[in-house]
Amino acid sequence: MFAVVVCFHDSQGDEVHLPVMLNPKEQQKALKEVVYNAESVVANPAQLVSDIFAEIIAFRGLIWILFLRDLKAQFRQSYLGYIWLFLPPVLTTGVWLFLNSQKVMVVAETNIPYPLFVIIGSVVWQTFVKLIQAPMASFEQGRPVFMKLKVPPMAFIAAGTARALFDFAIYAAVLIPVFIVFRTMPPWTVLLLPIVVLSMVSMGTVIGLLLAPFGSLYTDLKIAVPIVLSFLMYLAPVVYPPPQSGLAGVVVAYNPMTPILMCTRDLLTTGALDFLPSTVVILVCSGLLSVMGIVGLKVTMPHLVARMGM
Amino acid sequence: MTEKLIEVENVGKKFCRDLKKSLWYGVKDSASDLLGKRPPTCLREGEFWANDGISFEVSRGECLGLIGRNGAGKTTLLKMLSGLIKPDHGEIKMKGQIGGLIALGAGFNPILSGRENIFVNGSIMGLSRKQIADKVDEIVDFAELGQFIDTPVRNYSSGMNVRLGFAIAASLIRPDVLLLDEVLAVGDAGFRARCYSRVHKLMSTSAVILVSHTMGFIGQCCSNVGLMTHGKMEFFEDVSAGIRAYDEQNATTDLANNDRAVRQLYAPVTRADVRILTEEVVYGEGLEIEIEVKSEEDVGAVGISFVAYDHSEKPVMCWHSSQNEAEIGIKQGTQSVRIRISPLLLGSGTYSYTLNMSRKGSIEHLIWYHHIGTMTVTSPYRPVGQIPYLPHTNDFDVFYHP
Repeated sequence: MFAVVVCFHDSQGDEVHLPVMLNPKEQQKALKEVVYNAESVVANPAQLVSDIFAEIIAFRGLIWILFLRDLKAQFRQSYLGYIWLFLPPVLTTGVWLFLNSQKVMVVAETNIPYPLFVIIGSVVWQTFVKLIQAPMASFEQGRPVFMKLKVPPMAFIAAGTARALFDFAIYAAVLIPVFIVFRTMPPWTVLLLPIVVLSMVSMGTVIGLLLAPFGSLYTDLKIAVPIVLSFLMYLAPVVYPPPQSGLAGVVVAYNPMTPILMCTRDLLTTGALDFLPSTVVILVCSGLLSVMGIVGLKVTMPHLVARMGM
Repeated sequence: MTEKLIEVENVGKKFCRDLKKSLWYGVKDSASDLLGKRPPTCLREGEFWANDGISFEVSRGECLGLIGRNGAGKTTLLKMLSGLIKPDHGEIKMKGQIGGLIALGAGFNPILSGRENIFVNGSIMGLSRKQIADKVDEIVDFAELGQFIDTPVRNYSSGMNVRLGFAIAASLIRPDVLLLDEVLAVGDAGFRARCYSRVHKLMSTSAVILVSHTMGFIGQCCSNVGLMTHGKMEFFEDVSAGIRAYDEQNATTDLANNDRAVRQLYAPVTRADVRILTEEVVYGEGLEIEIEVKSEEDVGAVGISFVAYDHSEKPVMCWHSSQNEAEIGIKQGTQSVRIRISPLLLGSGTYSYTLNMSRKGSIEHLIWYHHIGTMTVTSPYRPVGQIPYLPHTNDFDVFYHP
């Protein structure tokens, strides 16, 4: 294998070839060793955390490639192409405006122009829904790959979440002409917007991350999640301002999405910081839970793969 | 000097047959793992050992052939070696880069072109964009897809798909441990030849585990054999012995299955019993067959043919009395006909046989006995597939050219 041939001339002047083996230590680069056994990986937390980081670093290119792959593939076959990215928020807002102007759906007065109220609310809510559903969908989509090859499912989930954020960025871009039309200039508080966005992402991702592995085992979740999310929208101040009294008022007040929705609207329009503390609390809690979710997924993955089929 | 790259010690894995129980055990095992506890090692209700007490070692340059009937536990073992599932007891130690020709074409999106999918598949295998870009030309040449590399993969035939998948995997992996799951060569004959040469290059510098049902490959490429039966593995240092044991397993269940046997007698023959007299049938020696025939009247000259089939029902040998100038006449009453075929040139294995008798010069059958029994042949020569091994010649001369 790794032999060196020494060539020299003997006393008769003939060429002589002698093989010389290299020192085994020289030829053996340090080979990474991996051990698989029945012990729980949680027993060695430092190793677990370093493994997760090593995986993220090794597969960061894959997340980008998966994101690009799904984006390209989705629109390559469509005629209108990327226009479809912009239509959902525009259409939702249009329908609500129409219904309100026709007095079909009458809502309480809002402190900012109603179209602005609705469009900010629906952008935030639709992104939240996508963030919850993305991990489950990416997990399903990546199944044929990580059931057969050692690829971290987090790569697929991260690509799905990245896609939800990309859609959010497009939606946010749609907001700009709306602001211009209503001649509203966002106050300085718009600089604090990233905190709220991060909070929304954090909460949506953590719920999606916790649902993904259970969704792969029990189909109840795949069926239930879209149904539950569609009526939850009416329990959050997406298209109406929070009721001040009654049972509805209580439910909406305790809904974790309420601070995020109200805070986004406030930071972009009135500049009020009422809901900012709650938003930060949500960010911290869901951030911690996300980390636990990522670790939990890595630990339970071998068990899921064993039960999901051959 | 050879380094041990794979060490497997007393590894076991259990699965559950019932779906609902299996999912519930999955939840319980995940919870135990999260709490830092080992799941129980006894069998719970509905569970069975898919792998039990498996131990072996493979060093660089060696190749372990994993053979066994379908459902014996080979894929489960491979999944544990890949790190996809955890063993329930025992330990696996692997050194170096682990790669495999498993799941070719994973991650392909049908709408993207072949070239774009090369990057997707390569990235799934853990390579960076730059590493893949350096090898793209080599992959495109190896796959021989020509201009089709830039058309959407959904327009590829299944053969083209598999060629592209193989080209990517074979060009990008540089493993120290190589796992091959019945994917040695795919596509048309020309492509297959290049596959073998590429895989051989990969195998020569790694510790290899090869799962295959083709005994020819196993005989040719492997240095040891692990025969898996119901989750347990028997390790054979001698490859031929391992293959023989596998053949015997298949024989007792497949070939002797008399669902396939056809016994038809035509007047005036009323009874026929066929027996193989030779107790140990050995390559190169004789095979004695006895046929006891009872006939109601004189039949006269007959022709007898004897055909042997291998386990894939391919005929591998035939003997016909007419070609051997044997004069066999059947009279009224009972008689025994003994035939001796010598030398018998069949490789080691188990064969099923067929015996026919017809009136001489006519195709009218008197006895039609198809797949009525099996015989086991032993041979001192290592099998190369099922083709008969011709005796090596001891008489040769070498002429050196000036």
